Amino acid sequence: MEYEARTLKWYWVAALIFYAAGCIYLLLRENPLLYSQGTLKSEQMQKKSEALLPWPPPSSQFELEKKSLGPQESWPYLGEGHLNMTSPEVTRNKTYTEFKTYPLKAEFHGKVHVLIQSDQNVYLTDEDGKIYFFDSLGTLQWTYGMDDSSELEQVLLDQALLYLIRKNGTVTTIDISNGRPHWELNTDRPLFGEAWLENDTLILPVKAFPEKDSKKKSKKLSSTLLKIDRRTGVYQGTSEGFDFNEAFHQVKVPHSDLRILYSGADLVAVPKVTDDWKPVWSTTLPENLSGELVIADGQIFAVTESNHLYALNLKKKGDVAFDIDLDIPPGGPLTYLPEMDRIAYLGKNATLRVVDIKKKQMAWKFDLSIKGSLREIWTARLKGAYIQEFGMRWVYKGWTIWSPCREQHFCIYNPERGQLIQRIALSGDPISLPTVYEDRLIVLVKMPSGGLALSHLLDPGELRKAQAKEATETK
Amino acid sequence: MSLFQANLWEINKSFSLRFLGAILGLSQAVIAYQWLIGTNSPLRFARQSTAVCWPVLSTCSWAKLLSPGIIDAAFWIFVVAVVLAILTFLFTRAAGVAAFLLWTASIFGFFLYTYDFRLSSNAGFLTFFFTFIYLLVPSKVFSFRFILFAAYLAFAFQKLNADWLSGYWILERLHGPEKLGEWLAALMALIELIAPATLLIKDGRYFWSGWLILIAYHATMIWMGMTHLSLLFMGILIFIALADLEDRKLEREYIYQSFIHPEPSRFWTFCILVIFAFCQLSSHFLWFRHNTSFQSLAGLLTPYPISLVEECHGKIWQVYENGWKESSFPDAEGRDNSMRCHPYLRFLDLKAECQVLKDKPGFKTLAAIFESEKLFEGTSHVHFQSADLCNQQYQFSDVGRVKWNTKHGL
Repeated sequence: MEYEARTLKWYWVAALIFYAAGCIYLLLRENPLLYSQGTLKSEQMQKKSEALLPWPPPSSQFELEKKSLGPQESWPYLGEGHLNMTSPEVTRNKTYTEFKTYPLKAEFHGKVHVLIQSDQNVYLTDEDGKIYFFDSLGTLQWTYGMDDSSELEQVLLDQALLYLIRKNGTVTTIDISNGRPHWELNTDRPLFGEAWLENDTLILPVKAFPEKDSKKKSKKLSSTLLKIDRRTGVYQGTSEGFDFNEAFHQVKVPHSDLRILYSGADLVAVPKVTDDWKPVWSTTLPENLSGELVIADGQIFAVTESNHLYALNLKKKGDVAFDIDLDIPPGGPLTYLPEMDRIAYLGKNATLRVVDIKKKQMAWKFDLSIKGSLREIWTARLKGAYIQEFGMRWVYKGWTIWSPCREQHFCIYNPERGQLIQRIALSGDPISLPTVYEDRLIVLVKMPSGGLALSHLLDPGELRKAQAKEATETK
Repeated sequence: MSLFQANLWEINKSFSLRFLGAILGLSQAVIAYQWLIGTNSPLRFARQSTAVCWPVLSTCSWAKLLSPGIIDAAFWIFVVAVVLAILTFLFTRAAGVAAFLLWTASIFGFFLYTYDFRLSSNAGFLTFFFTFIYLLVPSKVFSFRFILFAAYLAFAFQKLNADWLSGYWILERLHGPEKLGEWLAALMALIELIAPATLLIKDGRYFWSGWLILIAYHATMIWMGMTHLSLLFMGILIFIALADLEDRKLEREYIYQSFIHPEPSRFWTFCILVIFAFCQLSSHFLWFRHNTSFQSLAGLLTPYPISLVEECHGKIWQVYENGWKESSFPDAEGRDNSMRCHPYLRFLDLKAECQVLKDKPGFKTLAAIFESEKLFEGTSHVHFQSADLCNQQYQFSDVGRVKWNTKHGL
């Protein structure tokens, strides 16, 4: 040790200065703009939306068993535009007989409700947020348990994937052939409307952050539409949304290029397939809407919170054609009866109410004494022989009302006069509208024992075939 | 044996080295106290069914062969030994006894520290690292000046990134204006880079200015909540100051160390410095960066960054015979902040979860994806993804080779 030399030599001082200068250079190289906390945050926000990536990444996702995703399955099941009607091309027998019931065996927790139904399959969910997928024979194919991070808001279905859309804007897709999660995308934006599928894209309305989403600062919209690739979950871009005060609902207009969006008292028509969703027209009703819109024959039928029925003319940019007071508050959605300009619905008190919209007055009502919880009806055409038999007018083409009635029954009514045409007995109370598969109706029922079952109702021809097939299999 | 004797001779002749022994003992005592009152403790982990191995170990099933009673006994031996070591260092001249007690405490303490990877922390790493240098490396004053400088540089280089320089970490604690946070962050990085260099200079003007700046810096860090690590550094700084005063006294008395005892070798100091520096820089070399085993080894001598502006997200699914169930990642409560997004730890958390769930009716495996996002850069990185995480053949070394949809026939 050189204890004598405690004074620093000039070259060591120079080395120290160079070292300090090097340190300052390193510091400035790492933070050239001297980013502040605010800049950091805005950088984060901007890059985050650019960096929306699904889990797992597309390169790691499982192959889908079904190659084609197909169009969005219609839900509620019976018809586009919430019409609750079976195909106008098909006429039916009035006699349907319960062939079999298939109990749904699963350990449900709490109250069960239908998530979505498709063809012969049914997706249920219970209070734990678990999803159950049953085939038409009541066999549990798979379950999917959701965590409680955010409430499930909407479900969409196509031929390969089930889309679970949560309030916080997270979308999880499930491969319906095996129940495996396919991709998940957390958008970090609260959902602000009803999503839909369009070509290869999932359109997801989320809450807008105007300072980020709108290029023009003056234009402040409440929602933004995120475009997400259906197959991989990859974020494709953003479109300007709409200016509603609350999350909106949407419905496609049958046989038209329009889509109607509605929320509160506002209705907006936009092109069905487009890139910018610029409104074609918009209108505001005097009071808030309640329930779903029904669109048929160039008219939009909407019920408001004070049970007022409005008919809006689609061709006249949503002008109110007429409005009438409903004496019985609807307990479920409206059902349009084609050819006879009538609307039917079940009231909260289980009364079937038919409204003549041509005469703008109440037609008839009938207390159905329904014991179950279902308050939905649908309409279907009967075969010509029954038109003759029940003295119905040919001009109305055999359209009839099918409704739950009494205990464990469906009933068919003539919409003109309320005449009962047929009762169809079930083993339990129906809890959702049936799915129609050729000449077979598949109904989810609650059995007297409290369990759930799928009831298969067959028309006489189908019943004979099914019985013969069963006899052969037994032998 | 001569190595021990040489080290004991050094400790025995110098008050400043005995003081340093007490400081290192005190730091071990703080660790013991944290284990006693906290949830991140070997006493608690000993009672869990699975151990979390250190990255350098392929298995640590041996840890589970030890009963909780053995771990408890080791802990209390550690506590008693460390308390006695502190008292002996401070109040007696029996340096041999004190060093023996510190050896005992360090062996038991280090055993407990390595018992579970979840216990690793910057304070723990530096305490045991400095203790073993203190006990084993000759020419201690010289070694500590350089090792301390190297440690400061290691921490300073961790601060030369946007995460630290944005001032985010400071403003989380100070709640001041944004610009203040930014300037303080830059100033603190500069202090860690430059001030320790003055500790190597014998000129009193430089030495004492650097020393005072570092003391003030650590006082500020203690105020901002980084107590244990800063107290350890402050203790070592006081030791260096005492050693410098001692040195000057010796000079005044014209007593040369070489006259009393041969000058201790400095070879080991330089060896340790080279290894330490190489570990800090290894991630910059391409081959080493992609060598997982080497990175695990280098990680043993690398401090964790204290200021990562990083978010990590994980998603796990429990896979049963009849379906999948979303679940949340096991809690990282009580763990060092810098280790919340540690991919290896999170991977092992899930392996532990497999053990917890394996007896549940119908349980098959776990599926999981874990990614972290560097907020400043806006980039995210998937660390691991697997649809069959409980597969025995799937280990952390397979991460990157195994995708979400791969069957694990490794």
